[in-house]
Amino acid sequence: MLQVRDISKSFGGNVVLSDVSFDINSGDVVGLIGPNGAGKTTLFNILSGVYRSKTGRIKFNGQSLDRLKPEQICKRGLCRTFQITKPFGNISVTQNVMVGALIRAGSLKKAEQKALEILEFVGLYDKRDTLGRSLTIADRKRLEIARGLATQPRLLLLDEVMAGLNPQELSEVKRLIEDIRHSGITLFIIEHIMGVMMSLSDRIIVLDYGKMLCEGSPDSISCDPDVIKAYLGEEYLAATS
Amino acid sequence: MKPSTKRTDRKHSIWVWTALAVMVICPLFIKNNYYLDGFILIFMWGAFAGAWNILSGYAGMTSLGHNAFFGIGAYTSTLLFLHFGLTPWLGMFAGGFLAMTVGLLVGVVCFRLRSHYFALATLAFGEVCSILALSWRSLTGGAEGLALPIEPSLYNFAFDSKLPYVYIGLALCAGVTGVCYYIENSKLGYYLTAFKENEAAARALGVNTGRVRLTAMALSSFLSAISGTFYAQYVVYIDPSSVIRLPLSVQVALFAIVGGVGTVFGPIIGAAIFIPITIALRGWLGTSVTGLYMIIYGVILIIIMLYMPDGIYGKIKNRLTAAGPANS
Amino acid sequence: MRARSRGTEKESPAISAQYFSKKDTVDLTIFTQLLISGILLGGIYALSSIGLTLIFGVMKIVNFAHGEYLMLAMYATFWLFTLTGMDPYVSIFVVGPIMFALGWVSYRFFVRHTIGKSHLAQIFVTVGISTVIQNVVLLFWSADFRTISLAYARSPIVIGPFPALGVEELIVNPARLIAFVLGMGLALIFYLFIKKSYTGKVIRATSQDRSTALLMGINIDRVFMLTFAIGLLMVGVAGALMMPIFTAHPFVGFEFVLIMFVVVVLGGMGSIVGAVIAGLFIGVLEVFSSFLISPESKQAIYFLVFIAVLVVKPSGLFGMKGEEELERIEAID
Repeated sequence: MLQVRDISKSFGGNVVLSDVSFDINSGDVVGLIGPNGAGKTTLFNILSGVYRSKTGRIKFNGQSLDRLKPEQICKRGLCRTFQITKPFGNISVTQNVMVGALIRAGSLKKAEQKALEILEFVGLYDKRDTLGRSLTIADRKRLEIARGLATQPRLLLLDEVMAGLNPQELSEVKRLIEDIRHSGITLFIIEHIMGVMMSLSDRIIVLDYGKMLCEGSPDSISCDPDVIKAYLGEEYLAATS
Repeated sequence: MKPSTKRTDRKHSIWVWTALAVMVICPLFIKNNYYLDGFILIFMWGAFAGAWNILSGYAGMTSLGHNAFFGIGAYTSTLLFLHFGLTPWLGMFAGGFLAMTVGLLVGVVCFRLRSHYFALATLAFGEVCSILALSWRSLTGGAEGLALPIEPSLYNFAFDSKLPYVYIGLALCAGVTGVCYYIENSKLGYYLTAFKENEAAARALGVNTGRVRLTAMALSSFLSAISGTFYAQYVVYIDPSSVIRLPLSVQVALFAIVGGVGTVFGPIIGAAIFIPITIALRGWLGTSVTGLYMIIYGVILIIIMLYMPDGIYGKIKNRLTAAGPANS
Repeated sequence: MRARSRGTEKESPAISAQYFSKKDTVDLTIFTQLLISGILLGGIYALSSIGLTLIFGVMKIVNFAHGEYLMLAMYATFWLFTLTGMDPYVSIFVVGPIMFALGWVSYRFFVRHTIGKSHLAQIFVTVGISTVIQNVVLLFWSADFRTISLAYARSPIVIGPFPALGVEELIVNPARLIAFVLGMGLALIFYLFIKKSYTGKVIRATSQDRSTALLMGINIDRVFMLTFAIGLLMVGVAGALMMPIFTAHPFVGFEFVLIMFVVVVLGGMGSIVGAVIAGLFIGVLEVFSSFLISPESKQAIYFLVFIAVLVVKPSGLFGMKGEEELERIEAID
């Protein structure tokens, strides 16, 4: 479904990503992990068209995504959420989701229907009339997901939707992600919460300083010495090996 | 666009239709031209302010250059009439389309700028047009302006009595208000709001923000020019200081802001408040105290911006929607 | 510089000026004269624009009333001179502090409330202030043009001729020369202040990253207050220096603010160096176009420059690319 080849990105002299290549197949749940500063959100920005990569190619469902604008990429079925949530503060939750629904729905009425369905699905139905700016962090993250779902994506990029949640909220989001997966949407998830990632993902890609460190099943990753070194440092590796 | 919009609007619509009915019937009974003049000006400014509101309110791109569009409308229809005898009814649309084209150009060049910078760019643009009007004497008559030596007739868009102007003005104002209402409750409106709230998020959800902004600009500039033509036909004399100089931009913004920027009825309310005040002031003080009403405008603008940025109608709307969900 | 083929000489290129034809020397003289006048004028433009670019760079707002403050400073200088005979260059020390205080008041009671609020509010607060100041001045002091003339600055200074350069006598207006020297001097002092002093660093930090500055314990409110006051101080001094040269009237602020906007946009919002270089450039451009095309053409020229900048590189010569654009996405990692 998604083919990424040789993506590199620098800002000024700072190399943020270099030669990142991977595939994502339809129906997968792929995790993206790495220490802070590894370039994860930048990768998402490139995939969603916010930044352009001078090198490399991206192919989504056989079509090239190079040089497309964010709104065009969203229409093709690749949608992303934001790590720092961006709710539309002065309109209601329902109206927020309607904005997403409107690219597929023909009328406001249909968009509203779809929005309400999605709110039920993610568990925000009770808050449907609340203004965007009055939401809690957990609800904002859920709104991000809801809005993304409203665009009826084939591939959904989730950027740290679990950060800052308490254990109960965490398990709710985990369930939501599983539900999304079962509805047929492919997921590419950036996350720091290791436990959840290990159990949710089919595959995990590890990024460090912009380079792909390794890629594989959750089990193989956790034993990989490079990964341990990246996260926990040389001494830990030396001490435990 | 607030929660339960449709439901509160239904309560509102009774008032709106009543007011409209009153507006339609009242003028028939008013003989005093002074009052009729007041209505005409309120409608004209209500339309202009409503047009400004489309870009600066709904799209959130504050423009200080709308004086240019108003002037383009006024001059275009007037010049077409003076030189070619073209009926101002058509000249009005010519002016509208010219203004729309210019507006789109401005949009294409300037829309990527952040709001302050954009306002600055529109200010400069407005000034360029203003200077053009002043210095291109062969075309515009310069500071002396252009007079419309007009025979009253339907073709000429000129009438003996004030009454037709009242109704045309009412139609214009109602039309602009209708456009705003339509925008608010349409896909365009949702997209404009999304863009205004958070452009990055809007684009990530598939909103073509570029196209949406340009649509707003097109509507805004077109309708501003139409208001300009209406003014020209009513006053039958135009000159730079009445149709294109900068204070016009401040005035139209003031009316829309005080009434409630980004709302359907705000601009009319603003016009309905300020026109009577201005007329009254001019009556009391005459021309001896030049610029006093501009001082008052400026002071009110500052106060509103500091303490009531949503404007009068905005505040009413907020209070209603706070109670809204409980009602529904 | 000019083609030597005008003359009939067949000497080698390295000939001294006395062999230039008369026309050459006149042309070269005119060119140099225009250049000097342009630079002197540009220095004034630069000084008045520094405050504007500083305010935008640090506070991210455009002070639409900046021209009116310039106008107030000019009137203050005028009245001090007319009523007390105070020399305008001395009155800098009075007008400057007054404008500084005025900046403090303007920020404290008006601008401050709009920081962090909607952009509409930020824009129209200063637009409102501008409207009020213009019309209050109109009301109290009428639309009459005000000028002052200094006895010692009346007679032009003659420089040259410089035969070695092929240039004849050059004329320099003393008031403009003084304004340039003092103005650029102040600009230099200010530049050093911003670059070297601790307060200057605090100001720069705030302009670069407001949230981090806040986290570092910087009192943003006070920085803004200082910035706004300094901005008005600069334009106040500019006004005082300009009074012997230009005419004051209620709308002179508006005339100059357009120039200031062009200078700031060309130089790059927030760049002091940019404002100076752009100011000099605009001054030279104005003088040359006045001479070569017509005095009225200067406004057309300003706007052409403005549009060109917006189309080609909106961040101006020295602005950071993208600074002028809407918020972009932050990449966290």
